[in-house]
Amino acid sequence: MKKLSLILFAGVLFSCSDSDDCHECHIAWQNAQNQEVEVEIGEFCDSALSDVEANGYTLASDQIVGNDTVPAGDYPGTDIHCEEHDH
Amino acid sequence: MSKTIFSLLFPLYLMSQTDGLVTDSNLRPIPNADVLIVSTSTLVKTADDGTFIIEHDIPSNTILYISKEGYKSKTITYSSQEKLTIMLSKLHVNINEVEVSSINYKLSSNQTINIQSKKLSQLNGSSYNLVESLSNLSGVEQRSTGNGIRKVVVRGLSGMRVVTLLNGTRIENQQWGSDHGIGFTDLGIGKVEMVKGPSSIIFGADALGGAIYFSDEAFVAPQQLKTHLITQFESASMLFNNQIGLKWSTNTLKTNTYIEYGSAADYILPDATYLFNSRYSNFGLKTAIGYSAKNWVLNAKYQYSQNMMGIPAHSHDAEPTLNQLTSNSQKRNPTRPTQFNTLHVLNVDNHFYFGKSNLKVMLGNSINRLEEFEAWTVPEIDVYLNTTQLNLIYSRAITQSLSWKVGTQSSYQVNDNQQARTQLVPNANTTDVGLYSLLEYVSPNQLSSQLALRGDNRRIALKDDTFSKDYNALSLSLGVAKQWENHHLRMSFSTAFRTPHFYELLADGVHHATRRYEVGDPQLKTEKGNQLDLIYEWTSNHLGFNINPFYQQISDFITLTPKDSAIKNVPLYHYEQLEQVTLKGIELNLHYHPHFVHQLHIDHSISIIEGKTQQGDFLALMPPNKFQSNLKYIFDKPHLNLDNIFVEHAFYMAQDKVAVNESPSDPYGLLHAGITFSFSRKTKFNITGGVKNIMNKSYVPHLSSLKSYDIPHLGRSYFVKLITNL
Repeated sequence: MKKLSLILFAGVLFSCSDSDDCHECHIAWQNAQNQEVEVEIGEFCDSALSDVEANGYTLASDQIVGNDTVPAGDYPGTDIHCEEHDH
Repeated sequence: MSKTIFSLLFPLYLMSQTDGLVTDSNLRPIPNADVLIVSTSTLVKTADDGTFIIEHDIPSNTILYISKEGYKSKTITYSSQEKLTIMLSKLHVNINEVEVSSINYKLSSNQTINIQSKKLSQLNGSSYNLVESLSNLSGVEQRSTGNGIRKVVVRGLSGMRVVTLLNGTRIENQQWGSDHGIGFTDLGIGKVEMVKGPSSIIFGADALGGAIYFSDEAFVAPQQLKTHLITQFESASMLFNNQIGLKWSTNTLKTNTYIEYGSAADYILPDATYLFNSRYSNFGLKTAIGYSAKNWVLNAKYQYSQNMMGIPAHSHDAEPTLNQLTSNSQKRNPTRPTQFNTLHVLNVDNHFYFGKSNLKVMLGNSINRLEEFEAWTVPEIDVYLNTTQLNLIYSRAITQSLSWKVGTQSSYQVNDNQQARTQLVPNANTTDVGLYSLLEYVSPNQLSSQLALRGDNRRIALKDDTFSKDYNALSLSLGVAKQWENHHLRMSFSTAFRTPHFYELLADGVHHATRRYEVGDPQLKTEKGNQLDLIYEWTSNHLGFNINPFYQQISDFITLTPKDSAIKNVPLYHYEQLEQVTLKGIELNLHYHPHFVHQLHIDHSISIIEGKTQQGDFLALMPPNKFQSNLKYIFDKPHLNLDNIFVEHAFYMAQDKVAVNESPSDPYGLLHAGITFSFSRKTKFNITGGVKNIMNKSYVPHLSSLKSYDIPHLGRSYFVKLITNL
């Protein structure tokens, strides 16, 4: 019983780790109506992810999303969102 | 000479032995009763013949606390090495268990202020969370953000108005945030004591709402090695939690060590979807070392807690739909936004005994790191809070009836921001110095009284020298208690204060976890509170009840008020002061124990509270009135290894006494039930299983920070708890 309990505990303790350092990111742009418009900028991993979140992203050309046009330019790290949105 | 040097260096080699016997009123021995040596925090169990042996020196005048379930607990003051015989009488009604307070070493029956002491095991029932367990007490509620983040609310007050102490060290963990939980679990905790209202003068500044004092489990008796394993599972969030504890004592040294890991996935809502990012995990490590000589007791304790908590209901839309905040699958892995909270608490406690007086010197240090991530790699905030505390308490018995206590409390706190996107809390140093004196009188005719005075100075200074301010205040506590026949009356009047926290003074930025832009006010004044608290208790053989009305008035009440504007597209909130608020209410506890079904215990409690401003508006975030009922049947003669069956019901009334910017809440009732089996062969273990929220009631607690999104709390869930003593 003692051994079984310890094995069970160790199994549970180490069974729930996950390593996934790549994430889909988008520019979060506010339109005139104060609504967030998203421009997908692709998947970023490891140091590229750190870089885009810290230093931001340069959008090379205007992007049309629905009825909005997101202008080209430099977007700071705070405008780059890489958290999970599709649940 | 050499003998003297030897005895000074190795005092425990000159040990004595004390024998004792615990019997019932018919002089039959009581096996497996607990004999707790309070000064050394050592637990000795009686043998099958009711005898026990204390194999190490204990200071004279130390308190021995003898207890056994089903019997009335007793305390005696140890004075010599004579053989002790202790008789326990059968207990029928347990309305306010006789406990020795870790706060002032007094019996609960002799307290003049309102201190409730409970073993944690008495509170657990169907609860699997420390704060949820505490909310089983009348007048206590929880403020939650999903399932993982919970704060204690005492008589409607929480956060910085409720002081939390772990073995005497005050826990500082950025408690200004409504989303910043208690920061540790029940790992190794044996007892909790609750002081409601500002009467806890020895805890000093800030405890306007009250104080919660957690005490670790006692050490085992010398030459014993005990191991336990606790495994818990709960189905709504697929929570598992495992704890291992190891207790070992020699004649000279005692040690307890614990380790824990727990993890919960997103919890299931009554509509069978999952609240996205309500997941959390925690890791804990705790160790305690005790050493005792004839007149000196040393306890050194260290605790490490690491918590990962998802922040649910996060959206960049101003009015997200429930569909956007929930998910069709249950996930466990950390996502964003997430809060990481790390806490180290070190406590070194020295107790010196000199005949009729004793001196306690407590040195504590806590380091808290709070990180909030919305991005994966760059934190929004990352702040260290390092608090060092030194407490000295000198107690002296002037006569048999009169005792005097004088103490100082000082602390130095450094708040230090790390590299992050936002600096929401400024880099600041806070210095506290407090001095108090307490006079207690216990007359032979069961009348006791207490008078306590306290003076405090707090200095808050920003590191960049742009702000520096001193705050001074005086507090007073006066208590009287009288016992006669079956009656017990206790009355206290207290005045206390709370200095504004540097966050309330100087905040200026987006608090991402709560989606608020919060702005402090450097001109905030000290909050001042006055409370009148009355408890009347009556007990007979089969029925007992107590009734506890209270009235508290707080002037310059600090509140976070929403403004009709936004900064950076985030709603703006300002810290402001209300001239005066009043909190009044009544708590009632009843225990019934029918003569014809001796194993059945019925408990009821009622908590009623109302908070109002001077203008007659209701205060925000006041708990709804609560009615709780617990039924427990304890099997005297185990049948099929059944130990007990319990049913718990809680009814929360509608809360329509709400503030101007607050929405009302609907009433709801929750029903939980469980059953416990005990097995005692080579290995002793017991298993408790049950169902929470049996009716799968969809409800939104009034104090839930997800209430504005109309997100319900957990639906029906099944739980199992296995305790194995190896």
